[in-house]
Amino acid sequence: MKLRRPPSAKEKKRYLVFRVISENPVTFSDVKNALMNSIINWMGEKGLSVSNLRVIRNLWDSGRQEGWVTCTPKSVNDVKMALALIHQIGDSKVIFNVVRVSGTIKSAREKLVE
Amino acid sequence: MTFWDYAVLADEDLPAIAETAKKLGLDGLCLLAGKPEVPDSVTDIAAGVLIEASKPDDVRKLARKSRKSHEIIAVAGTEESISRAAVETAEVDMLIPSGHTKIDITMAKLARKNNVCIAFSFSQLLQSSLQDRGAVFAQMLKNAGMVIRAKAPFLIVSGALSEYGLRSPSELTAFGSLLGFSGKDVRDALSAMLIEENRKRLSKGWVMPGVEVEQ
Repeated sequence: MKLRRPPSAKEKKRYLVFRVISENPVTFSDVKNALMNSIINWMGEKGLSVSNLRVIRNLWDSGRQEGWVTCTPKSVNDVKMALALIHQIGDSKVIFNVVRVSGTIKSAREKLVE
Repeated sequence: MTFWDYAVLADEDLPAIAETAKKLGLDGLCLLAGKPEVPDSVTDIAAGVLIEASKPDDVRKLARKSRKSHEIIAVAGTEESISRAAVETAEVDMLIPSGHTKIDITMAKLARKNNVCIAFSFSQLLQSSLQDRGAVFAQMLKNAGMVIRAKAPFLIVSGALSEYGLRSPSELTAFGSLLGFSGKDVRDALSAMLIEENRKRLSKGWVMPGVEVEQ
């Protein structure tokens, strides 16, 4: 018999939807590099590993300059802070604005449509 | 709920700042540098003043002088003596301590007595170098501890020098939470309570707390 982990034992996560307000449009790789650098500067490598942070490539919307990251519920404030501390990508000044925090992609999308 | 940023230090390109603030979800801004002349602004804009005094006596003089002409009076707490003078002056609305300025328990209690808000400025972290950022945040944590202990009023502000220095209420709330404040207190620190009270006091009908003349 295959042993399965019950759903209640799964690690909870939070999806953060952010928008980039910038002088010039930015690419996903620039955003990811800036985000990772900022997270390491703010939380350190241990904080990064504990937060279980992932930047979701498939959900990056280059038109709306909108991206998604996941992390643990406890590290949401730290991730928001690290995002807020990014003020420049290359030569272009930027603001990272977290528009939604949600437990699932579906509910975040529904709230964004509202 | 309405969100205000009480310390925007930018003095150029004000329409763009108002536009960005709207995008970020801010309902109002208080401009502390220069006179705000933004026709058809999409956000509510208040006229404030930032007192950068060199002597403690100047804080009292300048605060009393500008009370009737400005909606918000802020003092830059560059030194402890200046910060002390600011929390002792009831005319002052907010004290913005510099990154390394200490707020002790006596100052926090005076701030509570005179209803002077201690402002925590996000720009101090944003503008500090990576080496210095830890020390600045450590001092902010200590100051926040004193504010919580004395139950003094406080504000969370962006201290933006340009439109790209502005931050949304979501990020400012996270900043406040990391300083150790409760969610409700942080929401109050970003609310329009202070500006509403000051505007009421500056209106013609206001006589004293609890006494107003109806027009």
